[in-house]
Amino acid sequence: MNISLNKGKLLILIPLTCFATGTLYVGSAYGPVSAFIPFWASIFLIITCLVVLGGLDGSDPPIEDTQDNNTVNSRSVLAAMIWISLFVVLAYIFGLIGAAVIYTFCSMYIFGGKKLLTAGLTSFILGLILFGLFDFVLEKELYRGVFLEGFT
Amino acid sequence: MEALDLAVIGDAWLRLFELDSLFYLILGTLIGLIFGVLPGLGGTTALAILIPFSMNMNPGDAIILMAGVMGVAPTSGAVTAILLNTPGTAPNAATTLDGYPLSQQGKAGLAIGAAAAASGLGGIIGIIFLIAMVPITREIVLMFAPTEFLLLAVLGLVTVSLSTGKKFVKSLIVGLFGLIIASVGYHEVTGEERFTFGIDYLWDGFKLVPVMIGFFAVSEMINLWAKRGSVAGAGEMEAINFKQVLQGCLEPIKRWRVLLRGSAIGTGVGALPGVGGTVAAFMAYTIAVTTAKPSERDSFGKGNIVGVIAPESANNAKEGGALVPTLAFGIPGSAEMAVFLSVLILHGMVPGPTIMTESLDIIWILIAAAAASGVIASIITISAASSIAKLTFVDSRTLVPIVLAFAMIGSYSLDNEIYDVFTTLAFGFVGFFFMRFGYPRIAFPLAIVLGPLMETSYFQTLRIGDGTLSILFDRPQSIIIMLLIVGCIAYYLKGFFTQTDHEGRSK
Repeated sequence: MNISLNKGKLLILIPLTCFATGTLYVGSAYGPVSAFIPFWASIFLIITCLVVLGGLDGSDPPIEDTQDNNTVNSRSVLAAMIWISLFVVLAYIFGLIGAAVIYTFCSMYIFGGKKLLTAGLTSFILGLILFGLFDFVLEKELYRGVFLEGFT
Repeated sequence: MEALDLAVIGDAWLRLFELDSLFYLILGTLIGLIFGVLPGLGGTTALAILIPFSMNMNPGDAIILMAGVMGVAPTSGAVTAILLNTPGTAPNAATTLDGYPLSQQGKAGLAIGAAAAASGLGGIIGIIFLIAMVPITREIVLMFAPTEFLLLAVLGLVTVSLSTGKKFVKSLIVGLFGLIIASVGYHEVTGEERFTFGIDYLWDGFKLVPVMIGFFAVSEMINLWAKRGSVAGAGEMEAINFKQVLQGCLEPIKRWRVLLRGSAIGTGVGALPGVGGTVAAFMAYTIAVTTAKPSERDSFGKGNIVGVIAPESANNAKEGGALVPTLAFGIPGSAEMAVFLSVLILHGMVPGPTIMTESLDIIWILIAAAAASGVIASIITISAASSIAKLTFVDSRTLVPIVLAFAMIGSYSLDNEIYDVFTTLAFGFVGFFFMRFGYPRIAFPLAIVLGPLMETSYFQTLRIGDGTLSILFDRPQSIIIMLLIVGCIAYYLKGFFTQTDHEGRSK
């Protein structure tokens, strides 16, 4: 039986195996009732990860199919993850509605190549909708950013 | 409360005609249609984003809103399947086989009319099945003890993983990961702290809503941003003749046998945990081909209207079937049902015997809303198919920030907790990695929902069995479920070894 170790497999299975080993170690210290799920789930997770790592589960595609048939390359993925994370950073600094407005404007104008007016108007309307929906309809006080709320 | 109390059923239908209920129903249906037409998003993402908004509503209105979303997504997904050869949701893939060729022949209107009518009628047939099952299921549920619920939860995870075919082990990995995540926080019975590492935020465990929103909505946004361009990619769209649409609406009635068979397949398959709409749609399509007259068989794949009616009736009828295990046993059959189950739990409704006895009014409201939303969705699809399809041309650079804003703010607004936003982001990454490396994500929400049920049932089983699990072998119900679990695993292993043997011989 061939054991094929491609990069994708290692990227997900190694962290998962480490995670399961960690939870098994920590979980085995709990009482029998509390440890039931963490203990058994960790053990089976380690076993199943090793099965997939060893290519024993039969789900590996033929080698010719693994030649980067994914249309999204790793660089785009990394860029997407950084850009999506930036929303949270903006939200922490400028508050949730502020972040939504700034983020939408930048996404459309800088990355989407939309006209300044289109991007500005869309982000402004989105901000108004969010403000109206949460402040008036749902009556929820949203996080307003570190400058107004203070550092937590 | 009687299962078939006509006054309760009547009240549920009357409630739908109240102004606010009607508003939520139409709003839910529209949201479901929009998310259904955008490939990758679907009903699960829509439901996850809507959970925080539903928390301000009374349970009845929240259920109406959610019922409006559920089951509607495949209706609009058929439009892009027919016009652009791009299925809006996975079950619509079967519709492309004959829908797109019909569109290329200038019969897009006929196909859309037939798909919309088959979806609406299929949905109603599924709901009729659910109505018929309510009294029977209630009796069955009352026969079940914690031992059976523990085993049912295991069976649910196994069958869901089994439904992913060759990816059974990968799906199990996702499910097991979900179970560990579900165990974070105080143990409900022992009060012991697990995996909190002194972080106050984790004392109550990971909250369901931020986790679900991250895992489904944010992960899709990462994927969409990385892919660039419009949601469905570039494509030529055929013009729609409205007269043809009306003719198409009559096709499912003319071919009522195909409609009934497709709906029956959808309902039956939907009731099995994890099998889902895609299997139902392709099964209905395959059976339609094999039962067609020999002279007609060659026309399938080249634009046969039966090839549109069969899968569309099946994938909408499945919702009625899928609600049976979700409501009766708390065992969701799909990711969408798992998210819906979390809505019920957050609104204080416990699926299983309690909901079947104490919240029957809510169940009837759900049934009425689901039936009505299917009809409304079909009407909207018939009258605005072109406009619906144009939504797929929206640039990801416009769509992503808008959906992300609603997802993140929705996640925060539930408890006014900024850490929920971080949780959403973290599980967005987790969901994205599983998606990117081909791990079926369906088992994760199921594990998150079933984890606490398994823990409680395990504890109760131990109490009943004086500290041992021997009681599992004492009750015939338990033994039947255990045999089903063993049978499912044996079925996978048989298929695996047959395939390995076949590959070995061919080499």
